[in-house]
Amino acid sequence: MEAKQAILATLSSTDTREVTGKKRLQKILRLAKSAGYKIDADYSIRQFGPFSNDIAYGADLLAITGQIEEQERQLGAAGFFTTVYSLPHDTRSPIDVSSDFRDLIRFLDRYTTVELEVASTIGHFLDMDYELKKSVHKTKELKPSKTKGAILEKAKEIVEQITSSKEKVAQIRSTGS
Amino acid sequence: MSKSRPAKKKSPKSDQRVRDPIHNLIKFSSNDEDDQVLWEILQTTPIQRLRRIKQLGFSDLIFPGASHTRFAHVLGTMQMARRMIAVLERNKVFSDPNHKKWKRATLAATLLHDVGHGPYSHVFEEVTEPYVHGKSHEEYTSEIIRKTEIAKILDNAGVLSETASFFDKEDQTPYRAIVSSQLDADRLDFLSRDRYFTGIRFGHIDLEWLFDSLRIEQVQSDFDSSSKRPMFVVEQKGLGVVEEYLLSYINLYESVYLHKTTRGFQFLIQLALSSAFEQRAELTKAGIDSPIFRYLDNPSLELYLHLDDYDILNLIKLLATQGKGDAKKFASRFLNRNPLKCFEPNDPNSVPNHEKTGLLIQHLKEKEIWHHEDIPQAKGYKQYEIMEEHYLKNILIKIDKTTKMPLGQLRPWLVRNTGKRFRLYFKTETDRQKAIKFWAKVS
Repeated sequence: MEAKQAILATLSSTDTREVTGKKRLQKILRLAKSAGYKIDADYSIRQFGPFSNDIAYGADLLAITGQIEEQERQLGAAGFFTTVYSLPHDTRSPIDVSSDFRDLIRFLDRYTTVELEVASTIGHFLDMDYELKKSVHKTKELKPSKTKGAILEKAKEIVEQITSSKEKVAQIRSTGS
Repeated sequence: MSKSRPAKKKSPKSDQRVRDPIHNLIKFSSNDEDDQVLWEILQTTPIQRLRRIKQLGFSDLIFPGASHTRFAHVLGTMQMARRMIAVLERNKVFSDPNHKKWKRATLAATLLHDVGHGPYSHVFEEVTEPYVHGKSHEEYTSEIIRKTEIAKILDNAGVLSETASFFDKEDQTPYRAIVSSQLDADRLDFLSRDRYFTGIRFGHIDLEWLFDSLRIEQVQSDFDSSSKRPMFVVEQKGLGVVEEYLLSYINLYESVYLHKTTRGFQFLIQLALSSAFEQRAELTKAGIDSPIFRYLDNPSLELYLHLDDYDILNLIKLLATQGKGDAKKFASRFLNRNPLKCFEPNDPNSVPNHEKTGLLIQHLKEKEIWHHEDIPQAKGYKQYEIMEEHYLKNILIKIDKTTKMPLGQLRPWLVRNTGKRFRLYFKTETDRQKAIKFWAKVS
């Protein structure tokens, strides 16, 4: 699926039909890709973990053409601006989304952005054929302050789910169902 | 350089001086070990290659003076870093037992921060990506530091892992802030340098006052008041110059880096090169060869380090005379300064009409009018929250002995909250006019 379609599918899948934060959208889609969904988006590791120009550009283009809304909302204790992507209220789901994909996005949407960031970085290395242990080690090297205690545990929980989703997606694909 | 050097002797036997329009004299002392390491790095092939890569790509087609190189910029960035390190050294709050080591690594990192750029920087990255799934220039930077003659110099100087860490790890130290932050040596140099060489008159940065206002303070890094780290802060007297610096950053993006005609040339070159890559077998048969083609066959670090702006220009000249079809046409257009034609449907100063924009794109697709959609990414000041990991990346203003505030809280209008720009590029003026006509017709 094209990056733009993947963004629309993600927004259609969340309970609120929105995703708060550019980084969050990037990480959710990276994890969906790790879970075996074919998304036409190349990722490389940047300061905040895996980043895709295709996703960034796709979101920009969807916003410019009014297919999604992009708002700068003041959030948090100090009220700093954060980008919120959402589907326009007056439209139905713009794309058919499988129930498996929807469940996966809803599962991911329960986690914080930093947990998604750590998980997607581990997932990125797993996709580069590193073993899990090595992937976690490399992520720790890149993000020493974020890979501590509860965050890392949550990230591993996400990775575990992603790995089992991947097997499921592969199975569906091989049986053609 | 003030002196020519013998082929093998890379450390300065006598003091060396480089004349620079931004910093005046940049000196390398024969008695200073750090200077000797930096001088040696400066002589390496990967750094010398930056003499043949322009800092602003195609901008000199719009600003004829702007043909300065990445080499001049990295040298200037190192000089800016020296001035920031002087702030560290004169400060009593900061004392790192490994300062000597980190100082050397910081200066080396500023000299090396752009070493991974390819010909015309992002142009080459984007145009070759579909053919080689190439690395980003940041990835090349890390690889060049670890795998070329530079690694040996850094290793001998005892700072290989420290220097490399600036490019592949994250942390929050004043040294890191010098190499990469919202007020780093890189931005300070490129803003001053690009302003000078483009000839633009706005956006002067009062560097003397800025450095005089910089301090190192223990800064609370989250809500837990016991958690403090040393970081650069700007005294209140420097607030004005920091504002000027950020306005310069925002305005240079608007006026120079994202100039519509520069982008028109960039997309034109991408079209010419893509056509050339598609016709590659035919071109080779006709005797047209290029190191760029060899890199596409074997995208190795070694071949990458042989490429520079001249390879793109040489290929363009060959295509214009001996090429065929689109490759020839676009290459000739480049040589005759005839860029792709730009139409920006929405007024950048008002709220864009999303629905109308969607209709225009749909119309262009239906009519099969070739166009390139461009969403230039303007840059500005980014404010991080106190609980965020990157809080210390804010520019912090010292209010009094105990209070430091992020600049965005004091000057909210500087925090980036700008609308998106959207431009369309066409191959011909006729196509551009068709788009303009449709835009005017749709209510």
